[in-house]
Parts: sequence; structure tokens; C-alpha cells
Amino acid sequence: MLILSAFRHHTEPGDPVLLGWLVDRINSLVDLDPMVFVIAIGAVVVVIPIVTVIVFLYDRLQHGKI
Amino acid sequence: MVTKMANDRIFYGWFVLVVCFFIQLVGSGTRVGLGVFVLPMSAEFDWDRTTISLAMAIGILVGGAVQPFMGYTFDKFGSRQIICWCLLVLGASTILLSLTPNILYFIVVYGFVMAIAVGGSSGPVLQSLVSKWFLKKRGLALSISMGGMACATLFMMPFATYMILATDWRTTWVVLGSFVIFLALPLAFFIIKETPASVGQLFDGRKAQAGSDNSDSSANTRSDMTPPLYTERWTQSFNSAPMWQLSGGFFVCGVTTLVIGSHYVPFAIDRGFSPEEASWAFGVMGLLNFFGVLVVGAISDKLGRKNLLGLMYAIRALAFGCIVLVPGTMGLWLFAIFAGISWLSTPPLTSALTADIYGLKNIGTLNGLVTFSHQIGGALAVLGAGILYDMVGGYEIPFGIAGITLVGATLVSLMVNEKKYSIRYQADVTGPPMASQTTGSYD
Repeated sequence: MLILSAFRHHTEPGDPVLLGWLVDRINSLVDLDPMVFVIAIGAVVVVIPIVTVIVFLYDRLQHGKI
Repeated sequence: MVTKMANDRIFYGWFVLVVCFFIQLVGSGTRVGLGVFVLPMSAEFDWDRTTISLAMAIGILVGGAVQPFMGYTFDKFGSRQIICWCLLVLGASTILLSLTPNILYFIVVYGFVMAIAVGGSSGPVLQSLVSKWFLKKRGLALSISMGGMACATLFMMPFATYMILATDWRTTWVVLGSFVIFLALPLAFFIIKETPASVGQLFDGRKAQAGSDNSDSSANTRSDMTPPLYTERWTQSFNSAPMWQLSGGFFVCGVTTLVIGSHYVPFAIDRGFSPEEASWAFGVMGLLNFFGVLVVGAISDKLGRKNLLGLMYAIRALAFGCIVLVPGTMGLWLFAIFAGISWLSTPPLTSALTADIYGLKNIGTLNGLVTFSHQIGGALAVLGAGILYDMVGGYEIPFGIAGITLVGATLVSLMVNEKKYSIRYQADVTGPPMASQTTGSYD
């Protein structure tokens, strides 16, 4: 986060109309804090390659390819 | 669902497919998310909508124009090289967008650099790679790969929205680019292989006949499973009808998808739909996209592809008919349902037919050319719809014309002589593997 913070010096709030519209739309389904939502979807995105690599390595190990 | 080899190894093609799905998810995420960035970036730099639309339009055209070249590079040098290099450039350029100081920088990075990189790490290239791993289950596999794009709209766009709220737009570009560089790139680098033969397996993970040699060999370049319209050079494909039929149909696909993508919101406002109604209908359409593409892909492996392709264009024509002719919210919802089913189903069917008919030797170039026709259609339609709107003051005529072109796409798709030209009907691909299948290649 320290590295990312270097890019924050031009921080500007998003357009209230567009972002509010999108957030309302999502909140009508799941009412979550923005950061919780970010972490939840981010975790799914990170988990996909991790699980793929684990299954891949397990398969290779099972058959003596590693 | 996982196909296993005789010794219970997981078919390597499934790993390649998961990687392609993931690349579509995070790679498309960097593009579909732009809509979310438009207003915060415009607000900071005081850009008007036309200016930022110019960058988007350049991106669409450049992205389409590079597809044949990326496809050719794919055919010439293999998939891993081009996909990895393009992912590196895509991730880096996405991160560089966080440093945007002015519109010129944004146009160069987004409209040119990113668009070129996307060309080598998205639909046509990935679908060509998947086609090399699957034969009997090609429709399903291509649909799963395409599903990554549907998931990008469903997940990455809300992710970008909330990320901007939680942090800011610059940090969000960095995170989206980091997904590409630190997750998709290593995954592609370590897992992608060119063909089943390169890992000693067969198409679809099928079992080899006893005593057959399924290792890679120099004899796997041509075989008795070569489709009748197999081409040594990609230019030869234009001497036959299916290439024109598939390109023509996909041109119309571009016309109809991009015209809605660009003009749906103003149309909904014109008709007096509330933002809630319009957004819910669009959300339902997005969900149906995902399920529609998977179901249609799987069915095409059982029932053939060209009739389904024609049916999908016909259903989309029905959708356009509903939105133009049926008044009120009923028209909007009927459009969402019919369009949702057919929206993403046409690319995997078109790619699968291209591979089935012309073989795999030039599949990257051919998929790139077909996709290029899609982008030309889309660019002309977006422009044409805007001009017609200004002339007649409504979207009924441009949308009606788009619907009529779909009737043409339906007819040319139904006219593809699949039984005569497709590899699926040249040999018993559901039976014991033929000589070529033992090498996992029929090009």
C-alpha cells in the first residue's frame, strides 16, 4: 500500500452521479462497505490462479513430472 | 466434467482453458472498466465526453486492426510468446494510465498501446489456442473461455467502481494492471503449452489406442483428419464461401453489439425508462450472457454449430424487433432476455466453425480476420447510428436497420455447408482416435 500511495497525490472523488448510480445498483443486491466489496472480489480474483497452480502442481507431482 | 487420461492425469487442456478464462477475466477487466473511469478522469482533467470517446473509438479500431497481425504472429511463433508479451505490455500500460497527465497521454496509452496488447491477449488469440486443445468439446471449451469476458463485466466493473470509491482512480488502474502482470502473466508463462501433442496427450484428453505413439512427431502436420477446406496459406480461405459467410455474419454481430453498447443508455433515456429499470434490464442481460454462452457452446458440440449460429442471430433479430416495436418496459425486458441469450454466443460458435472448417494451421490469422470484420461493422454502426439519430431524432430507425441486418446474418449462417466442410463430419471424432488424433493435431 505504501507503493500504491505514491499514485494517490492526484486523488479526486469520482463523479457522484455515475458512481452513486452504480453503487445503488449493487447495494440493492448486497449492501457492503466499498472496501469489503473490493477485498471480496479481489480475493476471488487472486484465488483463481492460486487454486489452478495448486491443482496443476498436485497433478504433476502425482505423476512424477516434477 | 474433468476429462482424465488413461493414467488418471487431468487433461492438460483444462489447465490451458482455465488460464484463458482468467486472462479474459482480468484482461477484459482493464477495458470494460473504462466506463467507470470516464467521469472521475473527466472531472479531474476537465475533458468533455467527446474527447474521451475519441480515445475509446481509437482503441476499438486499433484493437480490431491488429487482430489479423496478432493472429498471424500466433500462427508463426506460437501462443505462449505472444500472449505473455502482450500481457506484460497490457499490465504495464494499465498501470501507466494511473500517471495520466493529459488527454494525449491517455489516447496514446489507452487507444494505441493497450489496444495492441489486448489484441494479442484476448478473444481471437485465446480462442485459437483453445481450439488447438479441443475437438469434440470445442464448442463448450470456447464458450468457457468466452465466459471470462462475461465475468469481467459482472465482476471487474463493480470491482473498479468500489475500488475508486475506496481509494481513487489512479490506484484502481494500478491494481487492475497488477492483476494482469502478477497473476495472469505468471500463470500464462508457466502453464500455456501449444498443443496436446506437446505434453503427450490427445485432443479432449482422449485415450490413445493401445500401442500407438502419442508423442509429438514431425509427421503430425497433415493427416487424414484434414478438413476439406484446409489451407496452407490463410489467403486461400477467401477462395471459399464459408470464410465470407462467417465474416459477414460476424460483421453484423459487430454492428448489433456495438450499436447497443454505445447507444443503449441514451435510447433508454429517450424512451423514458427510469435508470433503475434500464440498469436492471442490462444486469439481467449480463447474467443471461454468461449462461447463454455456456449452454449454447455445449449444445453445439452435440447438434452442430451453423444452425445454432443462425438461431442466435435470429433470436437477436427478435430482440431488436422487440425493442423497436414493443412499447414500454415490456419491450425493454423482452430485448434484455432475447439479447442476453444470444449476445456472447456467436463468437465461440464462429471460432469453432472456423477451426472445424479450415483447420488449425492458420487459425490465429483467420480468427483475427473474422474479428476484424466484427470491429469494422461495430465502428460503422456506432457512427451511422449517431448520424441517423441526428437526422431523424430517434433510435428506432438505426436499431431497426440493425435488426434487418441480423436477418441477413441468420441466412448466411444457415447457408454454411457444415456437413460438407467441417472436420466434425469428415471422420468419426466420437469414435476411436485416428492417426492424427494420436498426435493431438490435425493441421
